[in-house]
Amino acid sequence: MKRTYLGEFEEIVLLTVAVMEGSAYGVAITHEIIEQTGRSVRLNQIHSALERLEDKGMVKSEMGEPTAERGGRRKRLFTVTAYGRRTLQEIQEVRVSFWSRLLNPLKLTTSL
Amino acid sequence: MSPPRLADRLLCFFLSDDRLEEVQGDLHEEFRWQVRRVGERRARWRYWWDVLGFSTSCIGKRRASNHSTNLLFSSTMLQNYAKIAWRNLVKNQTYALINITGLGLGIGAALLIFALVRYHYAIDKHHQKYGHIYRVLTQFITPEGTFDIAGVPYDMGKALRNDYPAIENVAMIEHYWDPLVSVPVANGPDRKFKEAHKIGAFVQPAYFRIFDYNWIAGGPTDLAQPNTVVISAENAIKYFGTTQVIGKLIKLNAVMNTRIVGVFENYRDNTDFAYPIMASWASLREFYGGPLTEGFDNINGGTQCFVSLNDRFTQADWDRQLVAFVKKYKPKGVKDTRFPMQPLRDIHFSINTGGVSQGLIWSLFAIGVFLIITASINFVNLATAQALNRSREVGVRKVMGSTRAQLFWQFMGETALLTLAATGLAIVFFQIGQQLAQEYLHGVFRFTFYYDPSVLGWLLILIIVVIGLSGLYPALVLAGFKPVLALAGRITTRQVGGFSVRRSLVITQFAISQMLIVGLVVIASQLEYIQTKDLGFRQDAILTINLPNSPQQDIVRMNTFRNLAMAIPEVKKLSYSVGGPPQSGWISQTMIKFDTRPEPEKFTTQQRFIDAEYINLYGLKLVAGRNLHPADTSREVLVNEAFVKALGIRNPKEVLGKFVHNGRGLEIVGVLKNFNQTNLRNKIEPLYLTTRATRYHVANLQLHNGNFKRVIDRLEKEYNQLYPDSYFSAQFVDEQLQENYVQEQTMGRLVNFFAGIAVAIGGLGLYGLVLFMAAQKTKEIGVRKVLGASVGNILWLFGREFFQLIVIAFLVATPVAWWVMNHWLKDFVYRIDIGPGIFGMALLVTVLIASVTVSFQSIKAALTNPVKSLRSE
Repeated sequence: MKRTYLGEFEEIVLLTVAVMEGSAYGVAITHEIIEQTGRSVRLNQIHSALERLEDKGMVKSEMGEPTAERGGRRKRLFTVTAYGRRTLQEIQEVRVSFWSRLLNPLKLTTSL
Repeated sequence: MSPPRLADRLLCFFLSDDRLEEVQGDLHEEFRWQVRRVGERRARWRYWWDVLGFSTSCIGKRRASNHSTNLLFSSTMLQNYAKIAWRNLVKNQTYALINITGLGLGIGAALLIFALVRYHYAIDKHHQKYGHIYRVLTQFITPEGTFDIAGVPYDMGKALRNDYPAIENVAMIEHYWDPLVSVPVANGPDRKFKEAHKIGAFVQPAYFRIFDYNWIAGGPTDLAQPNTVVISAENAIKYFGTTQVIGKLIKLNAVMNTRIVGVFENYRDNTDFAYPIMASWASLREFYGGPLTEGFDNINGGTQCFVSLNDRFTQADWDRQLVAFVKKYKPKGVKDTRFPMQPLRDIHFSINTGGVSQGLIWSLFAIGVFLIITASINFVNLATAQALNRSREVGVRKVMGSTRAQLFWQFMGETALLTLAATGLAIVFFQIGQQLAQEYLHGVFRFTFYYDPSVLGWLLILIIVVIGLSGLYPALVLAGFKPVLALAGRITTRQVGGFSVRRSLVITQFAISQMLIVGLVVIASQLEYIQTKDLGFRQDAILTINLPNSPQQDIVRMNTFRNLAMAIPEVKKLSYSVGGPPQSGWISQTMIKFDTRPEPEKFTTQQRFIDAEYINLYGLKLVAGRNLHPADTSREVLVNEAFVKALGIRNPKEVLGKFVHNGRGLEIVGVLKNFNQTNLRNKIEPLYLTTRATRYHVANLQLHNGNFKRVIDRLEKEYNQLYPDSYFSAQFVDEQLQENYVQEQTMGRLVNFFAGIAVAIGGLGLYGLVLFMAAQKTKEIGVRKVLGASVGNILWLFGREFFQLIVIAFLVATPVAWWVMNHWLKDFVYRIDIGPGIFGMALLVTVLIASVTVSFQSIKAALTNPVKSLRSE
């Protein structure tokens, strides 16, 4: 099966875009990721991740409405494509199948 | 409350237009949010941080996409430019070689010159008080203008300290030439060291508060005591093999024992005050065997006074005190004597007091600029000439959507690449040139290139200037091609800036070459002139031997030496004197009274001590009266014609029998025909000569031709037996005279060298241009030959053009060169006239160089078989 692999960071960005359902754009995604994961993320990293995802065809974008706090500039709003959704599902399935084969998941978490 | 504008602008610069809106929007939104969260100041920092984040992720990593990209930073285009530049370079190797060599030579030589200029302007700058240090001068105001003497009366220091306690530091210093140091050796004779061509000094401790010294051992505190001395680390090692020499004894000039109280770090190369041995001022009395002359009438160039000033007492304050000071200490000199303060930065360049000519430095600088211009012109000429070959490329690029700016920067970039390659070469030339300079100029005209960051700064500026000068015009021309014409191959030479631009550039080059050649010829002829001019005295086969450097000569021993020397058959005559006729070191100037006139004379008179043999030995001619009678003390004087003239007396006979008063009366017994006393840069000054055996410093020996070496060896043996404490040094007068013109000779050599390079670069460019013309005209020459043109006709086809240019350049260069060189010659009282011959010579030389360069290629072109050149189409 020929499939484009996603990096861990790209996966998180893609998931965030999916979660935000049409209101996903650079700053908003950045803040969401910082809030949810607690890791420090820089704006340019998000932008280049989004660009890569768009090149891979997993997200598509269109220009939104200008707002005052952006100095009258438009947002680029991202939505997940069908291909992107399927990729996320495949990743999820692979993980679930591995997790189900794990004998004692509780012990593992305590040893961590 | 808005984000940093500079950061925004930076963002616009490296981000492509289609992404700018969203990214900038996001950044601004983030900024607002951060302002609320952490405050404006930190938000601004974050903004910068974010913008910089984008810069690293954008440059170079841009992928080919359907978005339009930023114009200047597209990696694909950069790759393409580099590839095309390389192909062009390989295709036109000869031109590239000419360009790189020319530029490399130009940049290297210019860098050498700028390092030299920089060196001279940084002299002594390392002293912390650089801007506050002054030397007190003695200035005489005469009807012909003012002239300065570096020396001041011995009492100057005391007077300044007493009357102006607000002056921060006052220090007197006394120089003496060629110190002789004897180091005592247990049970054996002293080891003697002659510090030839160096200056020893006597200083007051304040000297070390004015100038910075680093002490390896001891220090200047004990230097207030008599018979103490401080020496440089280099000398300590020379004398004792170690720098731990505090408390050891050395003997100065065989007359004075001194104790070493300090050892200082060696001098840097860039100082004018490198005294290896400095004894305490308090030792002077013993050194000279008597008290120092008091009062303000006696001045000699070796007694100097340095001060450091601060806000409490400035140079302006001193200028206000000048007249009052003279009134108090030298009432007779109120009208004509001043003691101004000379800033340290002027000392290195004051020619009056033995400095370097600033004019020399600036003329070298001008040559440096010329070098850069010549090299850049080569580049422009070859680049525009070649522009035709690249018209197709420009056409295609434009059709594909290149903008003018893009093309412009492409060609500028190519120039920059070539320039950088040339810079590599230039650094090699710089190193070689530096080696040569060290070898040929060191010691004669002291300079070293000391490394400081400013030389790198110069290089950077040079590179930028060269890129601008040589790249700008060709890039503008190339970027300006109309694509339709370019693709149809209808661009002609006329559109490539036309031949007229290139013509005027070639004219500039020829003009520069001709000016430099005129300069060369004038300097060379002037040197020739002053070296062969009759100075009014005999110069050949006269040997001078220095007597011991003591303030009082021993008359008995002088007589013994005379007898010993005269016993050598090759010695014809011997005379003692204070120096030879051309004297530069020790010139004593005084103001004298004449006859019964009540006031001292307004002019200064030089005073020399000679014996009765002197004028015969040097062949000086009397115009009136008789020679001095042999005597050991002063009774009679000889004066020169200039002296008589300065008195306002027409007939020399009138002064005979009159008295000159300088302390005591001396009778004038003869008038000498004028002869040159110092060098031909200076006028013949009023002079009187008298006998005073104890002040003689030199034995002058006229020799018969023969084996000089053997005579000198024998004299040395006799001398060393007679003066076991002294050090034998002998020199021929004609050699001594040569030393007078060291600066001119050095200048001649430097100008020679750099002008030679400039002319060579010009020739190189010309060669390239003819090469190109020959390639262009291959067909034309073929057709002409088929139709019956001779080789001569073809040669003239090339030559005509350039000879016209040379003649035009000549008309431009002549007046400029004439003006500049006349200016230079003004420094000399005795000088050549710049005649038409010199300009004719410059014209001839350029024509010669041009013909050789042009004919080389054009003969080849003219001899090509027309069948070959016409066959391929």
